[in-house]
Amino acid sequence: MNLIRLSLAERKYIVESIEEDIRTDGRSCEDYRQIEIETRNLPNTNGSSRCKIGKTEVLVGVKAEVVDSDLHNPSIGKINISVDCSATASPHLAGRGSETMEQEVLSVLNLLYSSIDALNLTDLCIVKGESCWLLNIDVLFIQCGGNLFDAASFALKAALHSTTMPDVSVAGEGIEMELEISDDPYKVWKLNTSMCPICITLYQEGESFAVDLTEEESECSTGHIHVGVLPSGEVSAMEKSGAGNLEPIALLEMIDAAIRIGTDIHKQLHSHLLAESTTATL
Amino acid sequence: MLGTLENSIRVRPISSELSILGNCDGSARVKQGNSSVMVGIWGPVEVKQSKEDPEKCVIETTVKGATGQGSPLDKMYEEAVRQTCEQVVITSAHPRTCIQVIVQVESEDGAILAVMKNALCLALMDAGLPMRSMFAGVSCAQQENEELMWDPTAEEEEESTAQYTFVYENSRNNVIYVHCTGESTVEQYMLALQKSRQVATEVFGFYRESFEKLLRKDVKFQMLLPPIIKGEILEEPE
Amino acid sequence: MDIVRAPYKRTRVIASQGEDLEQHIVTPGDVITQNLDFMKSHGTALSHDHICATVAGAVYKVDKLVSVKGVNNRYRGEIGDVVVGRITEVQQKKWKVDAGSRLDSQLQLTSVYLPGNISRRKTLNDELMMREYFTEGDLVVAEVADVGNVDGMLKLHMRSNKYGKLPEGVLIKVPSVLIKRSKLHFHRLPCNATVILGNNGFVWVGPHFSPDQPIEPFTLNSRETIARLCNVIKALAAYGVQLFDTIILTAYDISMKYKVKELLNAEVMEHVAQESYEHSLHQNL
Repeated sequence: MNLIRLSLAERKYIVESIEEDIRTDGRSCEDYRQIEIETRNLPNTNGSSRCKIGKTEVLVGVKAEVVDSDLHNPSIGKINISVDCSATASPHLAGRGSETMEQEVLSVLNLLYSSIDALNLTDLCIVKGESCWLLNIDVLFIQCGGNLFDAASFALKAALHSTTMPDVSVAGEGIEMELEISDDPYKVWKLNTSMCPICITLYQEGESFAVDLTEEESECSTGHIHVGVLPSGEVSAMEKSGAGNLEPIALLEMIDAAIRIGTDIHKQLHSHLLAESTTATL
Repeated sequence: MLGTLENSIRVRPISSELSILGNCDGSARVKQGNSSVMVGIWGPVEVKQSKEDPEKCVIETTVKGATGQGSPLDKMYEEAVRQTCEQVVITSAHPRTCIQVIVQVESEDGAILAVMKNALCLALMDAGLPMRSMFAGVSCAQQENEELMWDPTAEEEEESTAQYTFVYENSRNNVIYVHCTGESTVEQYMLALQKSRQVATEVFGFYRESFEKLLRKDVKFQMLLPPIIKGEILEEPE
Repeated sequence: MDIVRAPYKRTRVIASQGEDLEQHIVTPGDVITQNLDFMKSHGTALSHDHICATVAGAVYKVDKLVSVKGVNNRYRGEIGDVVVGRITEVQQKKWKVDAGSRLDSQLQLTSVYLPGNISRRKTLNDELMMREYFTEGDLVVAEVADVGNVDGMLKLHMRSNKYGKLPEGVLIKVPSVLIKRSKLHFHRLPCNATVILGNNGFVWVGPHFSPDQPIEPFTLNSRETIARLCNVIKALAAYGVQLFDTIILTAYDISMKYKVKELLNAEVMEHVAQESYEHSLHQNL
């Protein structure tokens, strides 16, 4: 996404700042900017969230619907993620410009949630072989200011955490089976998000690497890796993109950093979401 | 705000936020009930020579719906937005430039075209683009029993036999845009048109309030003001 | 450090309470006056038999000139302004510069101070070597020579060696109205950094530099100083405080009790901006 053209002088300053561990805004390479998260902000959804990191702002909405179970996987539910970048994010992205970016983010999110264990899909099964829940997850970027992947993954986890699923009662059998979806706002259940991963993206800059890059810093980066980190500190997924080459030792260091940072953010995210839900009203 | 409407006209509470997008020259979000639309304006900016017009600025519009997938309605909204911009914005003031208007529907619950027009007007004012007047969108749905539901929700729209959206400008209170779907008689249409004027007036009052609030809080604006000399007023207009 | 949090509701720094503004605020289409003797300036237009407003803002009257000033306006430019800009295109005999105004500004090859004699005629060689001087992406500082009447396009020139390409540093963009008009734009601050406040709202922060001399290599301290200045300028701008050298230094001193990265927190930014603003009012700067 070449939106900003930087001079050689600025690039040199940015890259050397990262190598010296004092970035242009004073952060160290492993510091994130403040992550603002709020949930239940969109009406007409089962769950929603908004995440803001610096200038980047992303909205996630979760809508549940009942569909037929998959023939090959009769005892689990389904999720369908779609990513959209609003043209308001930058006028350069109006029209087709945003497609590459949307696809990249989508592929990372799909990678994180490709495992059945990420979001316990067996919970989403209603009647084995017949019906199950499909979660339609819409990710919308309102503004882009660097580090889109991580922001999307935080917002996604928060939205799933805030999602309330209605109770379903099954009557009858076979062809006469009828599903009744309860309207009762008190008879709801929550998804189990304890195994939902978040994405920590590490960008290579010169001889060093850093997290949470601003747009200017992203212009100077040569390659990056996405690491899916679980609350337990395990790595659930990993992907490398971009043009640069990585030494194996550097790669191990980057993954270690991702685990360190990821577990810390998981803890903070978890306590923030708990605090938010106890103060929220139904 | 809604105290002066006659009893039969009930509209949902309206709220707005201005200057919300740092990247854009002007932006606004308008919420009416559960319908929410955000508009970002970028410009006037340079435009490619092939697209430029030596006498006025070119207006480009993009509309994106609430769900990621595009729909044929988006094209219709883009045209509606562009038309209103061409009518209201004084395009001859900025020749050889381009104004980009980006509309993002955040959530849909009826009257979406009216909400879009309202957000558009506030965003254009926020961007400081020269305009001939302000404009406001009013939407209503006609039920089977001929009752008019103003600022309808999606459910009310679905159950109605006809839906109207009128856009008024405020220098002479004339209609500048009309969109109708469904079936109705000429008399029913005229009644809806006549009553919609009141709602439009309310919306204009709401715009003024929003801007006064914004300007009062803005230090940059306060600094632009000359020291006000007591007793000096401009000629009172008639 | 706690980084996950709920959204922070920003409030703006309020200037002096001032007079009641109601009578002066207009919206597009509002009649300003029936008296056609007034000369119309920005934000106004003639409509039939009266002068009306075309933007939302306050009416500003100076003698016989009436205009309406709103909040968000692109940089207009005036002759003599000093601006920081980014080269977007290299064309034949001129560069196109993005200085945040409506149209890209122009910098003619003939208007540039080149090494050697102060104003020698440019040769063919010079034309071919244009990219050696400034290429796409470079940051430059120049003066506004002329403003186009119809389209407002700015023509820039560099008449002395203090203008030219900027070395390693950071560019920050703030609303152009926040740059206080003053005779000085290049500020060599005592903390060993230079701040250039372009009238167009482009602010450059970097080390001290002299024309034609390489800059000193950076130390951890100098990088920290530059980062702190950047954050402080962003904080002041976020709260609508006008920028000039003394208030930036005041804010820098006030910010010393925080770590540089803490200045990115919304509450800290607000606190620094508020205190600096009050301090400057108190000092009557």
